[in-house]
Amino acid sequence: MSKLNFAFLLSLISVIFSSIYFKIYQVYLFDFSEVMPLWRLLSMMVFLSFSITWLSAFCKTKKTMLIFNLTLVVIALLSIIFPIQARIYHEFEDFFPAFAIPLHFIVPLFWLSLHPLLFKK
Amino acid sequence: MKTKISYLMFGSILFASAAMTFAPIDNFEVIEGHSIEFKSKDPSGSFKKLDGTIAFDDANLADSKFNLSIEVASINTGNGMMNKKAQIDEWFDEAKYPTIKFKSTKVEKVGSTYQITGNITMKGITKEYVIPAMKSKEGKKLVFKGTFYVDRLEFKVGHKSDVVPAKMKIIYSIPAEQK
Repeated sequence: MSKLNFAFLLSLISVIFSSIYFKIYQVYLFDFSEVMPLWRLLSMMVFLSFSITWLSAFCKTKKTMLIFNLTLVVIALLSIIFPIQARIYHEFEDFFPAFAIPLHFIVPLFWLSLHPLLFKK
Repeated sequence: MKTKISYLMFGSILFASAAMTFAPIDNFEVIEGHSIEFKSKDPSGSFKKLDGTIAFDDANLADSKFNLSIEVASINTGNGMMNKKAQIDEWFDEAKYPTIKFKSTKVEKVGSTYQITGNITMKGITKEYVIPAMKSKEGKKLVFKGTFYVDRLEFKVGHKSDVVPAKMKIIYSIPAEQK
């Protein structure tokens, strides 16, 4: 599979999952579409999928790929600081981190699941 | 040739998604220099602490939003005793309701001014108000100014009294800077 096709696949899966998550949260819990419109969330998923796939192309050995994956996990974990400290002036501001944090892991989790499966070497 | 097209497609999608992700929104944040004054025969004063965000676009008023929060504890009537009294449960009940909130639902332009329809939440009670606003622009800074009346009894702030009128005149000036 080419890197382009893989990036498409990763984007597609991430977009589908994040859309479902966004809609469920909006309908059953809290609506944060004013703070994070769906179109921006989806463009973020595509951007992350393509940029991670592009950066991974520089990892030629097993060792560099291991470092890359570890870095990805660390960055994903550290990135949760942003929704925790964000002031959004929303009626349900306290619940914003609970909404945003799972979204931070969608692309990395699918990356870590699919990449070893489709690029065995 | 095929590889070049692949690279081109990859780069284009990456660039387009990055442009959308980081596209600026006309979002403003309330900055220092604001004033929320209330005036009546007795008492008069102001709230010193206000924060919030304003999404404002003259060309797209349908998506314009005001989301403001006033700290009740920042009330200043010019009399320390009165400030403390204003925070007890009979009046603002600061311990239980530390903020007064305003969230707009509709922004309309009427002549050269704006009418901001929204919900004021005070002491746990939410009422819809239409607030007139004048807008001025200084560089990246917007300033909204206006005057309106709030009926304190609608929000159960204090009781009916001959000394303190039910309707309080609110004079506000809110400067906001683009984020």
